[in-house]
Amino acid sequence: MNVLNFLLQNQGTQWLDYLLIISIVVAIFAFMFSNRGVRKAGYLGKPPEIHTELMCIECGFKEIRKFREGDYIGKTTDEKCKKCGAPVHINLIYTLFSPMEEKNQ
Amino acid sequence: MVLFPLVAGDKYLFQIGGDTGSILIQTIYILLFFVLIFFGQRIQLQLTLMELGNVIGQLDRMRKKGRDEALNKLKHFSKNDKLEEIFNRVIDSFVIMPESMDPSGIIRKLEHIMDIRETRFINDVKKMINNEEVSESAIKTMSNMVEASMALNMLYKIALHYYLLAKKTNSYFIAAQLQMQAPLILSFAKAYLQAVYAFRDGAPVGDGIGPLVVNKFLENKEIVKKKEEYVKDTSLYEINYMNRRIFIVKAKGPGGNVGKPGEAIKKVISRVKKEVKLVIMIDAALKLEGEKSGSIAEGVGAAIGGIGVEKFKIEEIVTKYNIPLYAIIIKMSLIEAISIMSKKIATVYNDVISRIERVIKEETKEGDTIIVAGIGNTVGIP
Ligand SMILES: [Zn+2]
Repeated sequence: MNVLNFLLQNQGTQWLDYLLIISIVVAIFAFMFSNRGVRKAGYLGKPPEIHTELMCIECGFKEIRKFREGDYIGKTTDEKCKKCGAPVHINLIYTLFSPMEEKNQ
Repeated sequence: MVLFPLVAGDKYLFQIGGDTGSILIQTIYILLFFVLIFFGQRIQLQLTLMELGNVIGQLDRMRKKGRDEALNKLKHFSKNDKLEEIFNRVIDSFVIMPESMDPSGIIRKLEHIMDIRETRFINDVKKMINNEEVSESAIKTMSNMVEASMALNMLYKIALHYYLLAKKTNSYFIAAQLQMQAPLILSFAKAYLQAVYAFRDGAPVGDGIGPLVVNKFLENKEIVKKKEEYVKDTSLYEINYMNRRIFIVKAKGPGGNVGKPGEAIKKVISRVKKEVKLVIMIDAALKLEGEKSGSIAEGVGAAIGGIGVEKFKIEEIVTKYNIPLYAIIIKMSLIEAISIMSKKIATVYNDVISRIERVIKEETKEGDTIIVAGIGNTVGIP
């Protein structure tokens, strides 16, 4: 309320206009520097989540789990098919989104 | 109550009353006019440099991140205390391209230089690790990771060079050149950082779609002959399919490696000569913005990237024996090509295989010999 009273009392005087000009300049600079801060945080590209698609050799049942080091396509792993118990091999390894898409989400 | 006292009375915004006030404001405007005429470019330069400073900062952090990731991975296997010393030496290493003023025979020179570089590079990575238990394919993958980290370092150094040059010479135009390139440089850097992650984990990258397709093409088929190391880092398979003799060429996996498919195709054709009726190459290709990732296109010619040595060999040999050369490409962006394969790209292999079968059926007869080559990096794809 004090601010409003102050403005009303000084209404129409010159230096209030100067005050406005100065505050606009200050606001522009503040905007420029705050913008800079945001961009500085920028990109560090976190590593994507990798999925390994296992496929049963016997019945073709597919199962997806997290990628483990040493996985490669066509590798027969120690895991067993959840449906029939036969050995499984790695059918595909992929991420669900490419790095550029992840940014848009 | 008046909320906007500045426009409420008979005095309006910026129309400062009194003669002294208006003269003062006018003087400021005129001064500003001349300042902008004479110093406009300087101000522009400062603003540009400020923006480029951010770009440099981002590149620096990405470079450090790539370096840390690569070093951590190497440290995990390494038994060498001097790991970091060798790493720093390798990261600053360079290649001098052969002289092209007299271009005859340059391909052979280029190949020779690149072979030396690769051997030296692999040996350096081996020295860094100094651990007998680490497999050859893991070393190849790690050397790819170090290469991606090197590329990040190089991008940073080049960008920094132009930034400092612009600052030193106070030249707006040098700064503007860097500013124009900045979005592309940043997207390359992002791609290389993703490549560091991909090779760190040893998961297939988008560029591996060619080898993936031929790997899936071989699946559930009886392999007549198989040579793991037909030529350096490249495997050859022979199958009988659709009553045709089909040779399959791909780099040796599952370590990160592009092999020498050109050399392999040359060797096969020189061996069986006129019998080869068709060569089909499958490769990843850069898409244009607006094209869909994972879309497939067919054409003719040698679909293979790199510095051109392998491409030259293939073109030379198919021309010599007059063999048609077909190409099937899978489109993706640069960042997709060198980061971990996305589902969109990985799942197109069935479609590509049916196109290969269609081309074989249309273009060859039963009993013919055909070469199918899957071009690309084999990390995670044996
Ligand atoms: Zn099963």
